[in-house]
Amino acid sequence: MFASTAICMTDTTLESSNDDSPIETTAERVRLCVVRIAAEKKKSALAELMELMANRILHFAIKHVGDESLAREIVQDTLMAVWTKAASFDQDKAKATTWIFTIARNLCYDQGRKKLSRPQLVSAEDVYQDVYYQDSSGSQTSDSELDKEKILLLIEELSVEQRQVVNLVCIQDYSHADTANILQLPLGTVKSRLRLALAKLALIMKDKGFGYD
Amino acid sequence: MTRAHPDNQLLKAFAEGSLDSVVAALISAHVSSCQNCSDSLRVQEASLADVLLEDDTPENDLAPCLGKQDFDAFLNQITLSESKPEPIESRGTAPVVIRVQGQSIEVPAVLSIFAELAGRWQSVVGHLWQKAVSGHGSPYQIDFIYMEAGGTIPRHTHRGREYTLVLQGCFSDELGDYGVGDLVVRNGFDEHTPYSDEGCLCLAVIDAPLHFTAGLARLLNPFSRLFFKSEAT
Repeated sequence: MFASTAICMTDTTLESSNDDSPIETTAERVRLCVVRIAAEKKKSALAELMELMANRILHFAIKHVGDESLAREIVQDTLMAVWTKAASFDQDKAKATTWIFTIARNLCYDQGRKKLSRPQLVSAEDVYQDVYYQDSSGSQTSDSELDKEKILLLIEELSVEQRQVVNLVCIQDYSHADTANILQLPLGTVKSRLRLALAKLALIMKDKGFGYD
Repeated sequence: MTRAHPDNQLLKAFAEGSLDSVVAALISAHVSSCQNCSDSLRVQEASLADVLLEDDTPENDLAPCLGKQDFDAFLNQITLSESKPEPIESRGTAPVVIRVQGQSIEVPAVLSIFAELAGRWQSVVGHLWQKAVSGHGSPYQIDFIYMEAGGTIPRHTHRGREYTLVLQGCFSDELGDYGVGDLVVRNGFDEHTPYSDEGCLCLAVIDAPLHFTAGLARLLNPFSRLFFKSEAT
């Protein structure tokens, strides 16, 4: 328990990008939209993602399928796929923008073929493997899984605000910065709520005699 | 073993989604068994995603894509839809095999359609066998080729491109030795004499007739168009 407590308290994914290029800024904004969609299915995050990506995907699709109305359908299907699959996307495997590009690319591959009546011997799903998703088998050790289950039981006794931060940081493994963004709180607030929550949890565990000193 | 890989240009076209399904299937089969190309492909995808971001259409100018009303309607359509898990269309889990000389050789899933469309084995010359793939509708001639141990394909060059994916065993030519998963790409400038010491099963795709440059096979050249069966419409 203390090991995962320690991890909760340090921000291990410090995403301070020194590269302020417009592409990096846009990529980061897209990443945060995907994170917010994955965590809470926030409509405002989808709206922002549409503003950032819709035209860009449209231009790519037009270049590849040559038909504007088909390209619009591809934009819609791409954004729908992001909405439904964001929770399974694995941030460690690729940038969110790369993942979104591959969704659009696969749709163009399938739809472009249909439209031009080219032979569809193999579909995008056969040709392009889904490599950017989380392994369903999971790479967690059984120890940390047990810890997470215990935390889930214990956090019932916390206030709503404290439960929120513990859930996002300790169970869903979001960084402090991403948690602050999801909850629309200052980073300092997230850290102090987390500190208080964990201190309270420590007291609860001592009382309940979980065997931790 | 030399190894043979698709070059960067081919990988980039694959990453973009602009290859036809025959060549795309070959590249996909190779990438599944080659860590280097798999890594290169990820890099290509990331770089193409960056190119997408370089498109500097003003972010708030939605007119080309969606008007304000359409924007809201579309937003609601996505967020209010019941997101059912997508049905997984599986082609069946039984692996497809090619049977040759008492062996059953498993074919990568992405190539199973070619095995399904293949006809019977036919002897070409000596130690060389050919199983034609028909009904694919692409502008290529596609064959499974089996070289028995000691078999060879007469020296030839190509009027177009030739793709050979090794499915089992290995073959060699003047430029190297190739094993399972290798994708050998040759074009009009390459002249070679493929041979196999231990036997080899390949999938071969050509977009123009071969041109034989030595021995009795040269006599076939005036008729080579008759032997070349493309399914271009």
